[in-house]
Amino acid sequence: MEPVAVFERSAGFDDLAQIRAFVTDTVNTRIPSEDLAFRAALVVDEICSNIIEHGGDGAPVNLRISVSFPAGDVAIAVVDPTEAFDPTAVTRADIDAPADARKPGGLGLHLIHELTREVRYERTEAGNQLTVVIASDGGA
Amino acid sequence: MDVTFEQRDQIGVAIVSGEVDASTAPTLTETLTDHIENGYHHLVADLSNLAYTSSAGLRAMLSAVKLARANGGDVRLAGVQDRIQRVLDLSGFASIIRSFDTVDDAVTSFSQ
Repeated sequence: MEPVAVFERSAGFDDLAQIRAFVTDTVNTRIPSEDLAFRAALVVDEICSNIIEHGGDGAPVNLRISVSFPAGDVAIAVVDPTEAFDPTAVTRADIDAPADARKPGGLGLHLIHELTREVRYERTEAGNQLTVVIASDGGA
Repeated sequence: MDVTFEQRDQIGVAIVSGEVDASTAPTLTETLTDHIENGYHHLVADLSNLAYTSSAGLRAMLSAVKLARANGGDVRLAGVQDRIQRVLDLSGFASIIRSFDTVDDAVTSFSQ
């Protein structure tokens, strides 16, 4: 499915607010739902934050974020050219652990899985591509 | 994101407003850490004007909670908006950080 909107440029942590605004505005143009826009923006924030931190070592990374609306849901594909990394293979955070046993990593991935219906990784010629589908009805 | 600080009945209150993400979370971490290390082991985070947080904000809060508890204190939340509460719930944070409707309630909880 052709994307409705694409965000493509070098982006660092300081650009996360702009990325969230892009996702929020794009979702609202097709499906005016504050909750859906919030979930989509948070998911993309978490994806991009991980890419910048781990793929870019904290420095800006060329990102291509494309948004489409298959069957009324929201599908977002994030492509980055950094080293091959499959975030779906990473162990999620243990959210039942007490505070002193909590490790710092994995929480972003946990939120991505909790807020999406589908998370799919593939390695393409362009690099890493992570595609998520966010249910418009709130189901995950 | 903006963080201001005030004191109520010997309890530190950090007023966090705006949006916390990976770019602003380090500032939040540093601010909370500074106040705890300066003796405010009992700290309330007033989140009534916090519109957004990603996992980066949660990590900042967890770091503060761990530091405060290591010093015999705690960090408690006040005025959490629904969307922030949802993120806390999804992350299992609701069970590890106490939350109150108002700053006054959170402050009072330290004397109970």
